[in-house]
Amino acid sequence: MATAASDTLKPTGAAWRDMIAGALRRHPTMIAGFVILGAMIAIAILAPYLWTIDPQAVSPIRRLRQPSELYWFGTDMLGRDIYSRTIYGARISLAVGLSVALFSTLVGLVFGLVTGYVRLADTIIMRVMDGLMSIPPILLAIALMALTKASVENVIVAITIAEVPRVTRLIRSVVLSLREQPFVEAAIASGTGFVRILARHILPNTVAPLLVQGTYICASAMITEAILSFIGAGTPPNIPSWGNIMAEGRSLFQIAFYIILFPGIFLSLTVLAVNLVGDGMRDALDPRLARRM
Amino acid sequence: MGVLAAWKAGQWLDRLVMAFAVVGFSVPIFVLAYLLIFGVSVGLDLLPVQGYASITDGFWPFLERLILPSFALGITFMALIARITRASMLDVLAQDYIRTAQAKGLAADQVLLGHALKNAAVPIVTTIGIGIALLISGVVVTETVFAIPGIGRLTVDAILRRDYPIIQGVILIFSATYVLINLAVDISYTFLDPRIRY
Repeated sequence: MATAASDTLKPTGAAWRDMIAGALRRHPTMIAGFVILGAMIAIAILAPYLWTIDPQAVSPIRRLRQPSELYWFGTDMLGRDIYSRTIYGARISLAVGLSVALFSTLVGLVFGLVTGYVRLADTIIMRVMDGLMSIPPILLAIALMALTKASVENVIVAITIAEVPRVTRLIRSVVLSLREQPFVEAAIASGTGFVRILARHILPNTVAPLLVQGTYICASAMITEAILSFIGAGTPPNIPSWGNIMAEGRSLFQIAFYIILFPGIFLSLTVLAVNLVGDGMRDALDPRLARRM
Repeated sequence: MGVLAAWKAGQWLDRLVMAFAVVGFSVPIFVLAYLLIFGVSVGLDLLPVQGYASITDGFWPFLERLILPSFALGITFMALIARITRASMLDVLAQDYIRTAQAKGLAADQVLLGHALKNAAVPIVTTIGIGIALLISGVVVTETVFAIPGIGRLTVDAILRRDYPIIQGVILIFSATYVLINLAVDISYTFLDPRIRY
C-alpha cells in the first residue's frame, strides 16, 4: 500500500506529500495515532448509523443492565444505553479538543506576532499573560466555568482562555529569534513594509511549532473537558460527553463499573492517538523543538 | 526512569519506559484512579476503596487510604518527568565531557548520576515546577474520586454550590502556591548551574 501511495503521489510532484509520506514511514507510531484518530472522527460523524439508539432515551425498567448483546456497554441508572452515549460523546470531546486547539493557536498566534514585534504591546500583553499563567490552567477553566452557565461553547471558551498564554509565549519566542535573522534584516533593508514582513517572512516560520503545539493542546483540552464534566463544572448533564457519563457512574462504580470503564477507554485511546500524532509531527517538523517541550 | 531510558537509548528498556510515559500521559487521572480502585480494592481486596482516616486514628489506617490516591496522582507526573529527563539526558550524554569522564574510566553510574544528571537538571527542575499545575488539578480530581475531604474536594463542592468566595479563596491559595514553587525553582537554578546569576 505504501508503494502504491507514493506511486500515485509522485506524478503530482508535490514535495510536501513526499515529506509527509517519508515522515510516516519513519514514525510508525504516528500512523497508529492517525488511524485511531481517524476512526474516532468517523465514529463521531457516523454516530447515528452505528446501531445506536437515542442517547437520551430513558427506560427505567432496564436500568443498570450489565453489558450484553442488546446493550453492548450496559445501561446506566436511568436505563440509558451506555454504548450510544459513548459513541455520541465522541462528538463533544472531539469538537471541544479540535476547536480549542484551533482557537487558542489562532489567538495565540496573533498575540505572539504582535508582542514579538511591537515593543509597547509586548510589555502590556505579556504582563497580562504572566498573570493568567500564574493560575494553573485547569483551575482557571474551573473558575471561568463557575462564573458562566454550563454549555459546550462556554467550555470551549474557558479552556481556550486557559491555553492562550502558553501559545503566545511560544510564538513570541519564535518571532523574537526570527527577527534577528539575516533574511528579515534583508527584507527591512530592501524597504519591505511591516505588515508584509510579518505575513511573508515571519508567519510561515511559525507554522511548524504552532502545529505541534496545537496537537498537544488538543490532547490536553480533551482531558480538561473530561475533568470539568467529571466534577460537574463542564458540559451540561443533558449532553452526553465522556466526562459526564463517567461522572454519572461515579456513585455506582462498585456495582456498575462498566459505566466508567468504556468512556474511559475511549477517552484514553483518543488522547493517546493525538499525543502520538503530536510526537511524530514534532520529530518530523523540528527536532530541536523536542528539547523545548 | 528517564535516566535509564537515556542510558539504554534505542533498546527495549528505553522503548518500554517511553511507552509507559506516553500512555501514562494520555490516560486521564480519574480513569486511572477507578482502574486502581477496581483492580486493587474491589478485585484483590487489598486496600480500602475510598475515604480518609485522620492520623490520630492510627498510622496504618491513615497510610493505607493514601496509597491508591498518591499512586493515581503520581503516574501522570512520573510520565512527564521521565520524558523530560530522557530528552535532557540525551542532550547531555552527547557532550564531550561525558566522553572524557568515560575515557578516564569512571563507572557507568558515576558518569550517569554525577556528571550527566547534574548537567541535565535545569530543564528537569523547570518541568517539575510547571508540573505542579498538573498535580494541583490532579488533586481536585483524585480527592473527588477517593472521597478525601481536602482542599480539592472543597473546590468541587464550592463550584457545584456556586459558592464564589470559597472558589476565589481556593484559587488564590493554589495560584500562590504555584507561583511560590516556581519562584523556588528559579532560585534553585543558581545552585544547579553556577553560571546562572540574578
